[in-house]
Formats: sequence, structure tokens, C-alpha cells
Amino acid sequence: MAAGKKMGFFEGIKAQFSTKSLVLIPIAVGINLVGGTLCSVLKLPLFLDMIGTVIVASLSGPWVAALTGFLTNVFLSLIANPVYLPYSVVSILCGLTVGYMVKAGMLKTKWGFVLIWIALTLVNAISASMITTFLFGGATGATGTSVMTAGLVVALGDILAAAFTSSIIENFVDKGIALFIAYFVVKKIPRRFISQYASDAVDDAEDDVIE
Amino acid sequence: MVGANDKHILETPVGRMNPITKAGVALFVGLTALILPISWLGFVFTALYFIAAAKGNILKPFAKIIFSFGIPITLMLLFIQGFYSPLNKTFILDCGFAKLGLEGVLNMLHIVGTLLTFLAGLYILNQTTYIGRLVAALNDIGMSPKAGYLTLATLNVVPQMQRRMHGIQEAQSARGLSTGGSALERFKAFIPLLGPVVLSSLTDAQERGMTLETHGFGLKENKHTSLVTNTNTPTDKAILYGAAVLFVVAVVLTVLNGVGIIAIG
Repeated sequence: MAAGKKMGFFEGIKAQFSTKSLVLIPIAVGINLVGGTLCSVLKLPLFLDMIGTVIVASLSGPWVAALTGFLTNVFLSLIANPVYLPYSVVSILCGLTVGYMVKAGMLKTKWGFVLIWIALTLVNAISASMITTFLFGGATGATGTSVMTAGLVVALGDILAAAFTSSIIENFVDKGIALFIAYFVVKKIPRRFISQYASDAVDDAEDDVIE
Repeated sequence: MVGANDKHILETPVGRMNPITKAGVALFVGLTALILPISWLGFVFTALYFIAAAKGNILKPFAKIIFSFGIPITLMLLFIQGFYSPLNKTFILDCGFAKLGLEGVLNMLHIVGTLLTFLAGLYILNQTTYIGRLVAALNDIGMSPKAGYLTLATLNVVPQMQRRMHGIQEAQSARGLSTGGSALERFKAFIPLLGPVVLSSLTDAQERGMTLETHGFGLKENKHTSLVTNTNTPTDKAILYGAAVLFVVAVVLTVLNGVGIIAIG
């Protein structure tokens, strides 16, 4: 438990990693991946691979969400393709962003929702395009986005700008929908189940969602 | 991922190897390909991994994954890096709309070679190792049982959830949910499919948590034991140290190259 150990001195963060949160993490990783599978089953041009991370962010806290994001990418890099491994940085940043914004009570209001959406899109697009450009030279070949990047390089003449533009377009729609679905799923989780996580999170983050 | 009963893979020399050896080789050899500025090195390593894959009885799926990943990314990066890399100085081909640069092509070969080396090493680790052995081996070298549980549970839960999703998909279409039609209609089917998977998995997580706690998983005073044991043969050690030495040599060569004592690539 790398993140938990590193931040062990910070009691609040340590409290997020109880056995109950621990068993939630693999499930959330599963939700992340099932979201992606469902998209290909329903032939939707999306990824929706952050639903589990958002759910965990609102149930257990930002650092558990970061670990969930990290493990999702570790899993993908072991099972599917190691190109996903460097992008674990993106997942960690996104987990922290959503986690802290949910903790601040932003999932309560419409504008808070929009703010999380925008923040998530920007964090994801900036960090992902940096990795794509500086580590992989512009494309990973793993997604359809690479084709879009290749097209944009011709139009813009700059690899970083092209990677960023394709990333923004892809993320804006994708993260909005993922956030929306996660919001509904968290709302539907029975209170009986949620109450057990209440003592683990630093703040009663789940109350922000269940009104 | 192999099951405990896939004897034709697990009983091969590669399958019997200590998981840590395989993981260490994948890491050190991959890093060597990454740091040394030699564009063809990664392809040499990938070729060597082909021999290991043949020894491990997984040559066919191995070749399939290497080519199905390698060819598209080579073409994509040849286009992006070859024509638009800021490194380009020497131009070897003029295609009218843009010029193909030598430096970009070499950079592309280095990136693809490194990626293939990592892909090949991890694929062999993943396809010839029973996951229980991997986690036991990681615990042997000092990983905490909590982290071990996370790894094992994640790798087990995901296929299980995918199977469950399949069942829910059939149940939902039995009550008339359409998974075809327009994009909006397909999107509407998303929540009824995902919702039950998530909720049933959460209940499942609760049960797992209780089971772990009754087995004393949260105890810190005692060392946790495992039913799976790993052997660390002299061959294992030799291979692992060989890979580590290769990496150290690569670091030394890269530093010497960096300060200008020798010139590589």
C-alpha cells in the first residue's frame, strides 16, 4: 500500500485505508474496467474508465481514490498493454482532484458538479498529453485518439499541441458522462451500506452526495 | 493469466521460474532498452523474448500480441515523429507535404523498441505465472499482506465482474432492455447494466471484508503465512543478477556517453 505508507504520518489519510476501504478498491478497479467493457459492448465511442474512482472518492476519500486509479492502470498494463503504466500518474492526479473536490462538498450543487467536471478534464488532458508527447513521442497506438492526434499534427504542426487538443476533446465528453453516472450510482447505494464507510473518511464525504 | 491447472505452461522451464526473476528481468531489461540511446537494442531484446516465449509454450499468443501492437504503433509514430519531430535535421525522403527526418525515425525506433521490450517481458511474466505464486513471491521479498491482497483481489475480481455483467446483460435484455439502436438509446442502456454490477459487487466487497477480518487479516503482531511456496534456484538467481548487471552496465555506459567520454548510437 504505497500511498498509505508514504502518507502514514498524516493520520487523516491513514484513516482512509481501513480493511473496509481496502476491499472496496479492487471492486472500484473492476467498475473502472467494466465501464470500458460496457462501452465496447454498447459500441459507444467513450472510455468511461473513471466511474469506480469517482465512487471511491465519494465513499472513502481522495487517497483511496488515487490508489484505485493507480491500480487500474497497473492492472491494464499487466493484462492489456504496458503503455498504460505511465498514465497511472494521470489516474492518481484525477483521483486526488475528484476526492478533494467532493470532500469540499462540491458534488452537492450544480455548479460544483460543473467545476469538478472542468477541473477533471483539464487535469487529465494536461497530464495525459505531456506523457503522450514526452514519453511516447506523440501516440501510443492504443486508442483512437492516436489517429486524431496524427491528424491534428498535420493541421497544427506541433506534437504537444496536437496531443493536448485531442486529449481535451476526448476527455470533456468522457469525464462529464463518467461523473454523471458515478453521481447516480452513489445516490442509489443503500444508506445501510454507506454508513460503514462514514467513520473511515476524514470528512463525511458521502453525506455530500446523499441529501 | 494462467490458472493453477494449466500444466502445459506452468511445467515449462519458464513457467517454473521464480516470479520475482521474471519480473526483475522484465524491469531491468526494459530499463536498459529505455536508457541506452541505441535504436535497435529493443528489437534485439524482443527477439530474445521470442525464444523465452517458445520455451514457455506461449509462442503463438505472444507473437500475436507483439505484432498486433507493434505494427500500428510503428506506423503511427513513423508518421508523427518521422515528419514532425523537432529533432529532425537530416532529411532522407521528401513526400511533398512534409519531409521524413532521420532523427525522428531513429527516435521512433527507440520508443517502439523500448515499448516492445516492456510489453514482451510483462506478457511472459503474466502468461506463465500463476497469480497466487506471484503474490506469495512478492510477500516473500517484504511486500505487506495488505498490498498482496489488493493485487490478488484486483486480478481476481475483474474477470468475475465481467462474468457478472454478462449475466446482468442477459437478464436485462430478457425484460426488454435494448442494447442496439441510436447512440442515445445505447447510452440509456448503460445505467441499467452498470448499476446492478456495482451494487452487487459492493455487497460482495462487504462480505470479503468480513471474511478477511475473521481470519485475522488486520493483525499486525504475527507474520502472515501463505499456502503457496516459491523456490529460488541457482538458475533463478543467476538470471536475475545477470539482468541487474546488464542494467548497471547500461547506466554506466549512459553516464559515460552523457559526459562525452564515449559515444553511443
